[in-house]
Amino acid sequence: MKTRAQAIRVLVHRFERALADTLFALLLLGCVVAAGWLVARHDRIWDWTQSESHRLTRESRAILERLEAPLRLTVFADPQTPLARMIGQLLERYAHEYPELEIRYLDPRRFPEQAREAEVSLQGQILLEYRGRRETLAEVGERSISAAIARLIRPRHAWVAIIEGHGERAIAGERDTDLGRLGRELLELGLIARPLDLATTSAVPDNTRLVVLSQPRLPPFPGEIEALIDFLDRGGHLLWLMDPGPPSGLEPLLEHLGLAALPGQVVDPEAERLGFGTTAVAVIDDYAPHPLTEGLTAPALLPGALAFETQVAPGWALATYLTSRAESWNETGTLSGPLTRDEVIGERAGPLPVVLALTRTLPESEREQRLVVVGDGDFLSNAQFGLQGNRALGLALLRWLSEGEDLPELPPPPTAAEPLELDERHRTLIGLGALVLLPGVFLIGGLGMRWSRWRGR
Amino acid sequence: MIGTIAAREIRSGLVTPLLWVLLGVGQVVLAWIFLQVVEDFSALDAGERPASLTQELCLNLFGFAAVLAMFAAPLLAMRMLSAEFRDGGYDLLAAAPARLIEILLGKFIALAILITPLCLLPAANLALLSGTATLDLGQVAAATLGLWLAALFFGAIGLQASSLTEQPGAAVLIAFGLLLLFSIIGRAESLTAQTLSLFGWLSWNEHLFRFLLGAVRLSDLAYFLLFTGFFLALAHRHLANRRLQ
Repeated sequence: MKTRAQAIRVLVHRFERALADTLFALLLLGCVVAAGWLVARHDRIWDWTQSESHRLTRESRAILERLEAPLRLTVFADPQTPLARMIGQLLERYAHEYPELEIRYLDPRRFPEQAREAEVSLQGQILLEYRGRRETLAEVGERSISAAIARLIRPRHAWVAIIEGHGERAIAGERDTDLGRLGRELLELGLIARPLDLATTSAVPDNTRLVVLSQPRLPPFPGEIEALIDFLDRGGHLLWLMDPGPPSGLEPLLEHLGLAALPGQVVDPEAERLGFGTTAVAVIDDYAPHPLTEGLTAPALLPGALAFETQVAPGWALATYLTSRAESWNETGTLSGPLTRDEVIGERAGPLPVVLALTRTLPESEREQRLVVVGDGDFLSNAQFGLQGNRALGLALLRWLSEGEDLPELPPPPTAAEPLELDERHRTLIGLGALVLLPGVFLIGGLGMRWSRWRGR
Repeated sequence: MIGTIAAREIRSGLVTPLLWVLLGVGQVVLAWIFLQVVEDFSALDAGERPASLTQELCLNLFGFAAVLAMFAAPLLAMRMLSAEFRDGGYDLLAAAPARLIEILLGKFIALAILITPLCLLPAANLALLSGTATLDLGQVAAATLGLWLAALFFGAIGLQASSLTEQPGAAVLIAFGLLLLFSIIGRAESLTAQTLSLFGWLSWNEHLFRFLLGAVRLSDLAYFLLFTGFFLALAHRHLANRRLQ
């Protein structure tokens, strides 16, 4: 009679191989998982796309290079959700470029206290913390994250005052003629843009480095102009957006700066070619080499622009100026009918200066005072801001004017993907190629094989 | 020896209609998807185009081609071991002066070569667009590499399943079962902590997805190569067991 031990031995013997096989498979799987884990710990990534779409843009990398202390990001989202994963994929690029990045996820529903403290109201908002400074982002994208990091790097933010109160273009306005889009750009760059009404505050505040002045609809009080001139005498920077027509009360300022505007407005018969409905556009497509125009290539379109003489008051120097095209002139008559230039009534042939950049060095300060006068305010308005090179020109002017502020270069806003245009011939060719040519090759290949086999027999 | 075995397998793979039928039918379905994506994309306005044409095509075409390869690989692999067990061809081969590993690698290389045209099909479709649209060739190359690696992984699973049984039909079913498991195992991710997403790592879809976006990650390469090796090792062990019996 078999003992129990013998029975077990028989049983083990019968399943010995199966057990060994299972053990082998499990151990091997363990090795595979461990090796995979090890590789994932020391992961490397190669971006094969030509557009480098898996890498941060050059601008973002430059911003990250300026970080000196650890940066902490808190994503307020449930890490299981698709939204959190999408954000995670974006943040992975930052972590790849800047390994000291600390990322954590908090579900705002489970940690309402932290969410309230960070002023989070939506899923997926990100709180950035750097050297005790913090900022919560409303929208997630490479541009907004990089802009926020750039803002956190700079400890102090400069003030920009936008003169309002007499029907000027409003910085927070959303109408076509307002400067709302420019205002958002300023905010992203880390400038604090505030409307300033000189009728209520008698002088431009001391902490203001830059004043933006656009054409008022009603003439300002004389005291306000005096306040502006006083601001200039103190060494402040000014961006002056003029428009054709009477200067409505700003004559003393023009006089103070020694500027003279040409009559009428700039017309360019070739402007219609550039996709603009009217000829009354000053097109700037030739940028003189100067720090102000560095990196500008796309033509800027200034609808309804004023041209200037190249003269300035003593003490000021004309640093550079941008001109309209050679085919343009300042039209003094109405804009209807075929336009011709009439020399007798003072219509001058282009290129005409439409943007003047003035500098001077005040005796008591070492800093250079900078001033830009543009013969048009529309090119920065909400309606025209996105046209061709307008945004780039506007930001270049602001960058030059806020010299010493070290404004970051932000990644460009995402552009729409390249379109695909197909005509009938292409459609037919592609359809035939995909549905007839390629399957046909395999059909012939298969039949040929059969035939050669049949012959071979 | 490896070359001889591989050449023989390739020859026998080419003369049977299976491969040609797979390629032809696969191309017709791929062409359908391809034309659909192209048609949809050309109708979109500027604001509606979320991703580039290359990305749309890569995700759709290569994604479907991967499913196609998932069906094709076990079908091609079943003939290599299972059918040979049944008709006795394998016994002849095993009696030849060749090491087991050489036999297995020869068959695997033949399988890899036979399935390569299927992996090139999406790229061939994209080549039809050259001249009318600019495509990101780097991304297409990365997607093709990813698809090919995934096909190798499917092939290794197919060979392993094929080494288990003498019934080719059963081998295909086992392989499909394994592949299905590897496809949906990522869904079980919520069972574990986020930081330890082992199941997510185990499923192949996530790894292929990176390739389709144009990013070649070391960990994705390692995943496909490690699991290809894993299933080949299992198949080798099974063949060794068979020799012992």
